[in-house]
Amino acid sequence: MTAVQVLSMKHFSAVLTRGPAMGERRREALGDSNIFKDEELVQKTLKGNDSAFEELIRRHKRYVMAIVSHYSRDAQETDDMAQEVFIKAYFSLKTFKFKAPFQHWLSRIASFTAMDHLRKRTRQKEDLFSDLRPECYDWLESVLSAGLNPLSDSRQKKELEDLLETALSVLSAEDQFLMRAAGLEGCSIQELSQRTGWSGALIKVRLFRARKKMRKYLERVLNAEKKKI
Amino acid sequence: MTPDEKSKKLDKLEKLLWESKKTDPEAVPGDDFEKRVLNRIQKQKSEPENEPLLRVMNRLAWKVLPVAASLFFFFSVLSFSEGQKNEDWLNLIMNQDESWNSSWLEENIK
Repeated sequence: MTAVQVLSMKHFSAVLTRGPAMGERRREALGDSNIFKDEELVQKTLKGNDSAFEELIRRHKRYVMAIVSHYSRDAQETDDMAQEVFIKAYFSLKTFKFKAPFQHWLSRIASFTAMDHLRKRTRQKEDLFSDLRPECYDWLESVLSAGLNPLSDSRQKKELEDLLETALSVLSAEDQFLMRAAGLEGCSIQELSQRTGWSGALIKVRLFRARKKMRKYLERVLNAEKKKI
Repeated sequence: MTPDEKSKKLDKLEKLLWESKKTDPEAVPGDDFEKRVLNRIQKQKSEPENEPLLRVMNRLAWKVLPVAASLFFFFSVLSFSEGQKNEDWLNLIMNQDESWNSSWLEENIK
């Protein structure tokens, strides 16, 4: 894809996401905002132009939401987390060094915000087995042995999502973050290292241990189910 | 069930669990997302702890506090030692007085 195509796509998406009145207002403050690079908008924000930051939010909100949605339980929490990411970014904009792209810097903030949320959630952790509904035990064995696809049924899909959340809650916030980033976002070790600042070796070890712990929990769930049957 | 079968079953369950979450619809920002963020930023800016003057004072307080504590400690030690000196001086006078009294008594008795 050529740069011109990319630019026109950016322009098209920007036109789609903004209302006409808001667009007019911003054009007054920024001129045609699409001609500015992210870094230029950052500099404008640092000089006190909040319309520039509004444009940055507009450009990156979907990207940030896509990241944080893997760490939240519902749409409301995703929205709150995404807002928090941009607020943190705004107040720490002075620390942006203009070496890496703005989006990379934003993804780091999103990762740490996600980790903070997971930490809060692990602090409120309750008895793990009590979270599982009895129906979950009933159909899990049949799904696994018969090779059915439970994802087509929304109720069963929800059950599986709940089980995943419960299994992940066994882990520490940091391990949960790594597992979710690798399992849901499909992040590589290198990407995880860039986002967290941890070494690749440390991430590998943490992922290995976290997966082992999670499998142990799932094994307990399956055994509990078997006893029940 | 053999360990191999158990492991395969767990693999399957794990895959299913991740797939269940992956197929969630893409999160879409709500209406006026930008406005809501900017409103929250403005609100946080106007909070007292975010006032520039208070922020500077807060930062300064952490720098000044150890210096002030050290100075306070230094002057307390100094005044204590001065006090001690005064006490010694008083004792000296008292002792001198006593010696004077005793010599006066001795002379008068004679």
